[in-house]
Amino acid sequence: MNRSQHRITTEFWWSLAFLAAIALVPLAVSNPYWLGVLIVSMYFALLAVGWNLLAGYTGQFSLAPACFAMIGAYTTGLLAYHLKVAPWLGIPAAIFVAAVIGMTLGRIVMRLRGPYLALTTLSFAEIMRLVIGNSYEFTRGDLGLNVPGLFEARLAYYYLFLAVLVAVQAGLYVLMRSKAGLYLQAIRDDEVAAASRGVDVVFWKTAAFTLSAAASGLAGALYGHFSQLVSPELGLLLQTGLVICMVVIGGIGSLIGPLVGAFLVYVSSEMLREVGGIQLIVFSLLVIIFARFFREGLWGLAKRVLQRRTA
Amino acid sequence: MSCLAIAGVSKSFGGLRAVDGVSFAIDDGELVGLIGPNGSGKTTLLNIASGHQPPDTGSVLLDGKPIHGLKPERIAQAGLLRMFQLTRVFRRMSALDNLLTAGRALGLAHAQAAARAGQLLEELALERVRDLDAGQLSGGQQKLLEFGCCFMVPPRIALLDEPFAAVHPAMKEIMAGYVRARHAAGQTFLIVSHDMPVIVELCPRTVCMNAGAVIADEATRAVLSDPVVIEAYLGGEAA
Amino acid sequence: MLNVDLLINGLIIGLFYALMAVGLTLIFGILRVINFAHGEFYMVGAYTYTFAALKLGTGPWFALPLAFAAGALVGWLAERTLMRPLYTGYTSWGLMRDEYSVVVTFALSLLLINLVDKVVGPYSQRGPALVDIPRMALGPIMLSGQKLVATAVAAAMIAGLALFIRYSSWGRQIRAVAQNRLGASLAGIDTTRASSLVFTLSGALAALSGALLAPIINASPDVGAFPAIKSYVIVVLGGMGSMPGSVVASLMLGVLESFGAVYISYDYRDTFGLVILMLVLIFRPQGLFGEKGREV
Repeated sequence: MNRSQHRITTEFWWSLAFLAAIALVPLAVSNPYWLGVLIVSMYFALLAVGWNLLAGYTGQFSLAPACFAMIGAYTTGLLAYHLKVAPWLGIPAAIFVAAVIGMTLGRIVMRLRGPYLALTTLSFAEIMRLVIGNSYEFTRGDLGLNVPGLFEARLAYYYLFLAVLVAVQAGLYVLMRSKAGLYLQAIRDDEVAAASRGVDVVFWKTAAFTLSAAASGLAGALYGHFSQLVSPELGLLLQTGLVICMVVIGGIGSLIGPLVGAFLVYVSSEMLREVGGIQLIVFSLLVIIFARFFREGLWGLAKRVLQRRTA
Repeated sequence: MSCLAIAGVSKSFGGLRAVDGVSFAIDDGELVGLIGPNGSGKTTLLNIASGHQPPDTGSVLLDGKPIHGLKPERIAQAGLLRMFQLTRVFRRMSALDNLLTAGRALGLAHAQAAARAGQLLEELALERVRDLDAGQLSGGQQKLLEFGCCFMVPPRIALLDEPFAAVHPAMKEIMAGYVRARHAAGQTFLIVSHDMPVIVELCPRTVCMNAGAVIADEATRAVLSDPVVIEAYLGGEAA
Repeated sequence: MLNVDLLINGLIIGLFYALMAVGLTLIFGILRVINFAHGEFYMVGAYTYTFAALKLGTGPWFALPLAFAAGALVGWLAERTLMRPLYTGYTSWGLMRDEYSVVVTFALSLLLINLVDKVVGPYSQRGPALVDIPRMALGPIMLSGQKLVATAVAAAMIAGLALFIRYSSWGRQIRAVAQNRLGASLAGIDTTRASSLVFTLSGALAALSGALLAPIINASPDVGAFPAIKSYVIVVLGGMGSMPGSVVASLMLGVLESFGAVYISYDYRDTFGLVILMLVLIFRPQGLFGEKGREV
């Protein structure tokens, strides 16, 4: 196993360990409020992991992850609301719809980079949010859509979200260890060179967009059935901003950074809520500091500490 | 049927005619040099051959099949690989991963690609830095790495754009040695360079361009003593 | 008569958009980055104006230059601490400078919004009018005195900026750096100072927009979001870096929204610009007036 495979495998095992710890939390904590906080953290973790695939590994900094969560939530929500479709059909439908729209968006923005890509995806996200918000008759607009739940017990949601998160993380690991992982990173580092070495840039970029959108759509659908209310606020730019914070603070471009970042940011955000709403100030400052000085984020810091200990 | 056949290729940018009716052919196993003063259109011609620019007119045939206008990926898959004048490597991937990417993209299975990459790393004296990010390598090492990426799967023809420019003599030797060895084994090359001694040493035949057109295409020694070529370099018909 | 009314109102809105957007255009021209915190410069101006005029008692006319200065300060700071590494070479993002600037300016935007939210409170504040004249007739249409005066100030600032860019030595330097950074530095121009100046100006002008519109659009922590998005549309439409282009694009957008709200759809009036932005970026990335971006 070469060094980079070793690195990604290490990250994967650490993330499994982290998720195992999360699995054990309900043994110590039974307060439904905090369980709910962790469930929402898992929602964000799914978004973060999906966005990291697109931005951290493939270099496409889209500003639309929250938009795809909203699309996923509304797909399953509208199917349930208007056609009484059961969630176990609605959720796969949400994944499919988000994936198709993500694939389309990916094809549209194929030739765009940097700020142009950011602006186009931002516009797309805002347009979708405004359209959904304005279509009262169909979506009940800002009032939100009432959506059936999946289970009675909160704990059941907890383990469903966790199982999905583990599955997505495992899928990502397999993907990044395969040749796809090489191609995506090559595209990130130098698209022109990747093409001249024979990498099918169009295909793989589209694939990254599709998979990222699918993960976000899945997250949104699950969240919809958990909170039993779906509103256009899911797609606010602020939500995307949160996801970006989580990924950058955790460590962009690593397998475990986005995961840990999501939990850390959301949980401490809830904890600091009592202290008085400075959480976003702290996080945005952290993002700026990490982005400015230390791109590898908290995971990078942790690695350095571990290395110094064992050296 | 020649390996690479360029016929009547022209390309203009705005009012500037960068490539003007260029035609020449390279047979299997040839090692051809491409020289010419700055601005003579050499890199544009290479860009057209490798698919980064479409020609305005003319055709490029690889083993008799047209490749002009195809995307760079397709052309690479068909067996035409190139090096860039300004070295392009995947900076945040290790040297080994750079090679693996090139190999897998051209169809090698993982084990094959790993074995081949190991071989190349040794031949190019990059073993020591195999796990370093390509962006951390020295300029010369990066050039060697890019060079190596072209040979993970021996291409039908390798286009090298100024491979010896600004490179440490020791690395130049490694590259030149590798080119010689591969050429002896039958590899076809087209090498763009300003480094006349190396061209003389490596290439039996040389094509010279000036102002977008081919002004000489013969044995290297003959080209270098051709008065038209000398004029082009010393000033007469500058680009 | 309705159409003339719509046209003039559209032009007026467009003028304010222009004041907001030219700074962003200049930044893009010089640095090739989109500042995602641009809306927050506007917000800072709106708050400074409101607070200076009401709480500090300076009155609206003194509060205007204060807002201008506050925006300039924030812009200058942002460039100094966050953007400078982009061209002095060192960021831990290496060659991914576009992505760095997206993340960093996005985070800055979040920081400023939440800082203000925490320090000042989330409730919106209404800025005082510059003049007390109520509606007056201007030719065929009715305008409030505030709108009239604000429009005049905005127009004057844009004209002043245009003259500055065109004729002053700093303006020439800015244009040189926008055309060719390396060349300009070789010619002896201090490109870092030029970038700093542009960011400072950008902040100041956006803040002035916020101040001028504070009587109409109350100041709140996230008040900058909408103007920012309009600015992005304009920068793209006008040609990523062309100042005259962005002024024309601003006016066009203002008029389009004005007519569109009445004739097409009031609810979707904000989406026209966004749709246009997407279409332009996909099909004509150089905008209506700009140059095609070059690949290295």
